[in-house]
Amino acid sequence: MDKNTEIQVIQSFIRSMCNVFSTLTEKKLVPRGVEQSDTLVVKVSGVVVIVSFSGLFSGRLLVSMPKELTGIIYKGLGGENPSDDDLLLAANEFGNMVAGNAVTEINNIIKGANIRLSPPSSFIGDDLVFFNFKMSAHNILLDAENLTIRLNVALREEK
Amino acid sequence: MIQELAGITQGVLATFGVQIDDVKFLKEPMHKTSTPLCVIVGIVGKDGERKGVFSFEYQQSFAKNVLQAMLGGYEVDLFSEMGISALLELSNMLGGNMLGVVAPQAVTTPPTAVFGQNMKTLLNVLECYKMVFIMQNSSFSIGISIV
Repeated sequence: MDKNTEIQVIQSFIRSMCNVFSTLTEKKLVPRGVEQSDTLVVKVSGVVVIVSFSGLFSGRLLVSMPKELTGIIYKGLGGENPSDDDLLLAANEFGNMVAGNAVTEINNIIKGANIRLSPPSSFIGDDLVFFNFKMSAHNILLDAENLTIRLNVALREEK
Repeated sequence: MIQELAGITQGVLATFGVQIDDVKFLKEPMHKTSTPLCVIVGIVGKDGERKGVFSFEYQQSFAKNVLQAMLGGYEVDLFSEMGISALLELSNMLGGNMLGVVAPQAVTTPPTAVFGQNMKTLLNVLECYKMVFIMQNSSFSIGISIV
């Protein structure tokens, strides 16, 4: 995948994440920067949602955030006093909206991309470890309410 | 169909010399995991309509036995890059073989491995079919949820 396409894809995910978060919570999500991840491993605690995709290129989106922020998203979806099961559902919904909006934009701006999403999967726990498979990844840290959300996008060109 | 998938899995495992003693079939209302170590592979229809999730849930003792069999008796740390890559490769292979039965027009997404003690999961809100493969005192489960 050429660098320009990669940048367009990453930017689409960041824009989508900020827009969806702000629409649901009426709060601002501020990107801190993008870094190329030099490890195949992502270690996080809290709530995590992953959404995989396939098409001209394939990969997966991983969003990890503290339970407090997932609670704010849950409230934005119309709920109150969430249990862990509610937070998992809220994370699934959030991941699906972020990936869906981003992929719509990607399919519009990259000719022949034809990217399709798998269903979102979510996790809650401490010291969760996610392993990439033959993919390069980018880490983006975003701040809201004095808390940090991590967006990790792994990409692989299909042959 | 689920029995055909179990047969495919046993066939793949047999190529590495892994023999399964028993297989159990379960149906669960939502797709969750039962082990701390799990590999997830997405299913994506080319038309965007069929989609789902495969989960490959490894008990650590089962994973160690399979790794040893895959690597010709050579012992490798389960959580090393080589260990995890081998499990991802096996899961990818199993998913690819089962896809021809489950959704021939679909493709799989790259696998992601997850490890978390006491983690809670929700891999898919759809009903899930599970196959539990039992070998000596360890087991390995495959879950499938697809629309």
